[in-house]
Amino acid sequence: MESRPARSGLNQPMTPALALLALVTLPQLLAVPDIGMDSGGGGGGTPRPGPQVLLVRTPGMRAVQEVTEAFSEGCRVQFQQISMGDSPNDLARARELAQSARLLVAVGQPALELLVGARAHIVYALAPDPPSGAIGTNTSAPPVQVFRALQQLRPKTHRILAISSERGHHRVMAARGAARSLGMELIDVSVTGGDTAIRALRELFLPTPEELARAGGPPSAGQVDAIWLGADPQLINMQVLQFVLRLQIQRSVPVIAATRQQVYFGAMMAVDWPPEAVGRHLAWQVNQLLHDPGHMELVARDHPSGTPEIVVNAHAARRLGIQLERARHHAGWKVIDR
Amino acid sequence: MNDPRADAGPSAVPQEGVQAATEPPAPTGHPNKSDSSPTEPEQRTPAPDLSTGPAPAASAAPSTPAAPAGLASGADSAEPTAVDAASDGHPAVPAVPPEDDPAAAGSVGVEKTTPSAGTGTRQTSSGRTAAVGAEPAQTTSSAPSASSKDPGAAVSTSSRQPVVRPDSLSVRDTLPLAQPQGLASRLRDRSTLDIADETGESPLAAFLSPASLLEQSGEVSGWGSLLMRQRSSFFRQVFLWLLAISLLMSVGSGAIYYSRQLTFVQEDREQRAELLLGYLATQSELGAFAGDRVLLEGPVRRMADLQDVIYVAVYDGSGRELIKTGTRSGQPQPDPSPGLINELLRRARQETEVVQPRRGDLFLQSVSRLRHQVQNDKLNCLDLYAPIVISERGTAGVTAFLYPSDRSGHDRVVGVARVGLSLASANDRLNEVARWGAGLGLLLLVLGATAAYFIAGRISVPILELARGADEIRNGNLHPRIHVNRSDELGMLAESFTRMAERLRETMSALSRLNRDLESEVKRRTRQIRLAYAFTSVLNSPIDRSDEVIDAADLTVMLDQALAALVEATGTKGGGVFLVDDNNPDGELLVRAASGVSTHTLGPAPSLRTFLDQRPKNPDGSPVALTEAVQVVGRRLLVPLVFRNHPLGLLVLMLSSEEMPEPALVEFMRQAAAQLAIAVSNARAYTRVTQLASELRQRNEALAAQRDQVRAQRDQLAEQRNQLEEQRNQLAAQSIQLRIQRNQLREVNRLKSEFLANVSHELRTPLNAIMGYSELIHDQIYGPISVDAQDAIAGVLASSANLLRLINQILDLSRIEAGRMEVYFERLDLHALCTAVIREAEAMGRDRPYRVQLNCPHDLFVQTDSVKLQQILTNLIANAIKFTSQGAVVVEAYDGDARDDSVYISVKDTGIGIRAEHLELIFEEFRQVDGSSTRRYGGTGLGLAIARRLAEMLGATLTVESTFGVGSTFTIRLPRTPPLRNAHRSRGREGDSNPALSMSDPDIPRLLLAAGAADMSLADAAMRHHTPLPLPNPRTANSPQGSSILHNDPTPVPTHATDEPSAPSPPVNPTTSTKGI
Repeated sequence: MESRPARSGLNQPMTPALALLALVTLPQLLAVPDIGMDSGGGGGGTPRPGPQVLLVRTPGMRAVQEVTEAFSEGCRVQFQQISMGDSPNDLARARELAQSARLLVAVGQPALELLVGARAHIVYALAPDPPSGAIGTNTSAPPVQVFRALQQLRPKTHRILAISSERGHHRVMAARGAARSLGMELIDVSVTGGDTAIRALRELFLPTPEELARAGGPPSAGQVDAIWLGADPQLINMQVLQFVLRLQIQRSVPVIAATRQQVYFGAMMAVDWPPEAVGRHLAWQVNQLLHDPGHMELVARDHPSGTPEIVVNAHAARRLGIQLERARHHAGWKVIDR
Repeated sequence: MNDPRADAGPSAVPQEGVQAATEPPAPTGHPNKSDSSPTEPEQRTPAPDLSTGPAPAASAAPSTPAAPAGLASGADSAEPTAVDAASDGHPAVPAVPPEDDPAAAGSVGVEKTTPSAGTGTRQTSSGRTAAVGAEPAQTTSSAPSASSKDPGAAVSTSSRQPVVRPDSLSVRDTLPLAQPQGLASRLRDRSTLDIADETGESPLAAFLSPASLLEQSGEVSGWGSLLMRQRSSFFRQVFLWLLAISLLMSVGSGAIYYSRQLTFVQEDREQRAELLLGYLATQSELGAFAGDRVLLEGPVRRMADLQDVIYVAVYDGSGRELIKTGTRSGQPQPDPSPGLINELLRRARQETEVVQPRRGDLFLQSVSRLRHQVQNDKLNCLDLYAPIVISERGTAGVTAFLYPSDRSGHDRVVGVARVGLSLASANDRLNEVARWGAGLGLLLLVLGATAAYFIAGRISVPILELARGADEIRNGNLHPRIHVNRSDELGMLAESFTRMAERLRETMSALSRLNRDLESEVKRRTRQIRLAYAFTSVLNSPIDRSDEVIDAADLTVMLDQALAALVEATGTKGGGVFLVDDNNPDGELLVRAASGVSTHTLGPAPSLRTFLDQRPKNPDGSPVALTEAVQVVGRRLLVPLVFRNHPLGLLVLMLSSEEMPEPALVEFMRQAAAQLAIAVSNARAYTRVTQLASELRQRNEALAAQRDQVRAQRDQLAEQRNQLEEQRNQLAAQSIQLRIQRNQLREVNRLKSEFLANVSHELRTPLNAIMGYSELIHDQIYGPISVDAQDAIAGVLASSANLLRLINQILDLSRIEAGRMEVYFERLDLHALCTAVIREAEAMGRDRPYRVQLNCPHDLFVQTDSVKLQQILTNLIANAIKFTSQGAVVVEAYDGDARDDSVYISVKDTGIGIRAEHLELIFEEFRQVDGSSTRRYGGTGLGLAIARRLAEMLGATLTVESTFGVGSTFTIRLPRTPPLRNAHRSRGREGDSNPALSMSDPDIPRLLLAAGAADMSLADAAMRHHTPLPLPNPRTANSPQGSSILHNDPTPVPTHATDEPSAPSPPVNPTTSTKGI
């Protein structure tokens, strides 16, 4: 059980420690004039040299919009919001405001990369590859929850192929133990990028006779029960995802994606937190940092509270012969059937 | 010279024809040449086509073997027939060209001989016959026999028409009407060519001739067939035009069809190339991105299996060949040009970096923009290249989490796709299209030619028939025979032609009748106009006598003459004019003129009122206008003479019969009567005007006399005005003089007052000392004195007292005149005042046998100065006592009437009285009636003057009524309330001792002038001009106007001093006189 801030908006019980913390910090919170009760979406207020909180978001994506809206509802201070458009003026203005802001909030990987290097603290969301030491909210669920959900959907899954680049290799290594704890084997294929990933997958799943002869045995891909796509920005791109989904169709290998957006795109399943939860957790982190900047460890938790959702593409599942009748009625499951 | 095109100059056609017509003897060209030259430009087009057929006929030409074959057919028409350029109205020209003059057979000879052959033949059957046939002597049957070479022409010229010699006829003689050069004439011009075609035995020409068709169909026959044959060039022209149009349409449609198909094939090939390249690039995206040949095998194989694809190849992003196929023929795929792949990659990367393609359009834009193609003639294919571009942004959902760290570009070029697209199928299709286009064009041409043949026949034959009918009509044959058995528009046109001819006949007949009627009508109207002119001249004749006075005799003469002209113009037996008597408008009509008949024949004078009452009625029941009231009674035509709706009389004409006159005659008579009425009215008006002019002249003379009188009066008035002006100037000068005198008097008066005041003061001071010491002596203060001394001293005292009183009075008078006398108004009991004054004055009359009586009510109050009033009353009572030795002195005070808010106080005595002429003297200073009174009664002569001045200060008036020897009555009229202006008057008098001149100086002459001009008094003038007139000065009261003393007593006025008080007063008629102040 995790603690919740007083204004987190979640209907969950407050722990005694958190309550004590709230009692201690509440007077200070009220004594800070800058953190008034005029929370809201970035309008009004007395003019200042720079915004107290600057939110920069990646444009044109629904998940970013939903996270931003949830953040607006939970954030207790006035903040300024800039959407990174295609115009260079937006980027220049964002950089200019970032220099004078007290706290920076980045929603989306491009926004995070834009703000890297600023003097103020950066709090991120929807960024799969944050810089080390950054504070933010991760969307993807821990590997053990992912593998458990896969096991629930397909109990006979034992061998999971994980493709990783150098940048995401540590995650695969960390997930290997989780898979083993569930009686599964995680096969790691290290590649350097998207093109090598495609070639590696093709050689695994679609080998030529020459390649078979050279390997001296049946294709190893025949023993793979699923492909796990980690949140590896160096590796995953449109072509890799397209090829993996092609393998899912041609070889009947389910694809476990990193986010629900990839499930919308065609992957069989993913386990992650909904954007609303991400936005609320992001707002809680910002509130805490503004209240007590000296105790950043209090907000170092990178996952939203609660359990993540298991998002399943019903169309893909049916093609793979997976029954979803029970899953439709389980709490925390979200079946996409369209 | 042998080239027919050289002879066919279109510009030379009309000019040469005219020139040839004006030079009859000149040779007119070679007949062969004449046939070869069309007269119209458009004829040149079909001529070569037709000339190709009858080439053998050219050999039949008697001369000019070098002439074109097509032109040789006209050789038969080159006979020297009479040529008159009929259609142009030119004189006949001998058409015999010298054979040794080939130059003459050029452009000139063509136009002269070509129409001659045809028109000469034609005109013998139409126009020439109509014009010349009536004079056979001028025609000749010896036509040149050269026409016998032409069977057709020979038949027409020899059997039907004589040939007119050119020298026997002129244009004017043979062609009374100019012949228009229309379609028919132009068609006739083609006849030579037609005949030449027939004689040339051209199969096509013979086939194209509608004459044969018409003959076969039976529509025309006989000479009509011959005419059709001669005029079939029109058919040929129509046919050739339609054929040319058909050919043009067929060729054009074939070309358009082929062009469109070629475009379609090219566009299809472009689309096919883009499609193939796009498909290959899309399918090769993963393979190119991964650099995996195995992933490319599938799409490359599928692409290579397509029928029109010769070879396929894919290159990676570095230009390395990933996969390629051989050609279909088993040959190896040709290598691309060196550096081409790298160049394409470079261009594609530049495009993706510079131009940001929109998401979703990337594929199509890259293929269409960056596609490159090269024609490979060896393999008969297109060598197509296109870049393989992948999007690294991808779908939104993916990008949200998986945005690559490399943000150098959104799109990436990962390779190049190459396709060899065969052109064989496209070429085969184009060949097929060409074949179909040619066949279609040929088919259209055949169909068009067939349709043109029939359409030309359908059009030309009826038109030629109509042209023939038109020729007949033009030549005077109004019964043309037009055989057009059609139900379409041409048939309707033919029927219209026939109806037009019938209508023309009717019109001509009607025109003849109308012409005859018109001539007779013109004659009749001319006579009427002439007579009417004479009638009008007669009516106007009196007006011309401008200087003479017209009289009744002149009017009668005018009426006689006008009536005579009218009778002659109308052809009646006679007539008369009855007019109303000027002196008796309601009386019977009087005969004023008669013509042709006696007054007895005219009958009794009709009653104008009866005649007008019996005038006809309008349809609505109202009587017709007076001018319309024309009646026929027996043989008499009665026409009223009305001028401006006023009946003047009647015009009576004796008709030759009792029949009703023609309406034209009635209308003419009505108008003549109107003119006659105007003339009568004018004559009468002229007479009246003459009389009025005479009267006016007399009145003008009288007015001139009056004007002279007025002018004289005006001069007199001007003189009087000048006199008045002089008087006014004199008055102004007098006014100035008076003002100067007034100022002088004012200054003198002031000096006098000052002198009196000073003298009085200087006198009274020692007098007081004298009186004081005298009184001390008389009272024996200084010791006892004798009785005589006391008497003497008493005398001194009495004299001093008198002197002191005199001095005081002088001082009072001086004070009053100097304006230093103050007035204090208060409420005063008049009875008490009078009682006090009487009591004080009784001391003076202790020696009198009477006592002063007082009649005053106790409640009589007045607002005045008590001291001044007391002083006035004291003076008056003292005077009354002084001059009344016996009798009584009565003081009476009483109210005025209701209109007069004043109080009157009168002092009445029975003293010596005052003469009337002395009444004004008693109020002047230092004046008494005479000096003796002063000596007798004492006094200074200032008492009444002071009393008057004081009364004026109080706003009162002091008047006196006296009868010499009887007594006097002084009356004070005292206002009950003092007037406010009193003080002003006192002050005014202080500043202006002469109130008569108190007006402003400019007012006086103005009032004087106004009074003099209006003969009124000065007071009236002042009232009229709102100028206040000053009160009269008492000093001027002795003037006749200012004096109010009326005294009829002629006896001299005794003075108080001289009249004895005890002496009985002489009996006089007491006359009351009033002295107004």
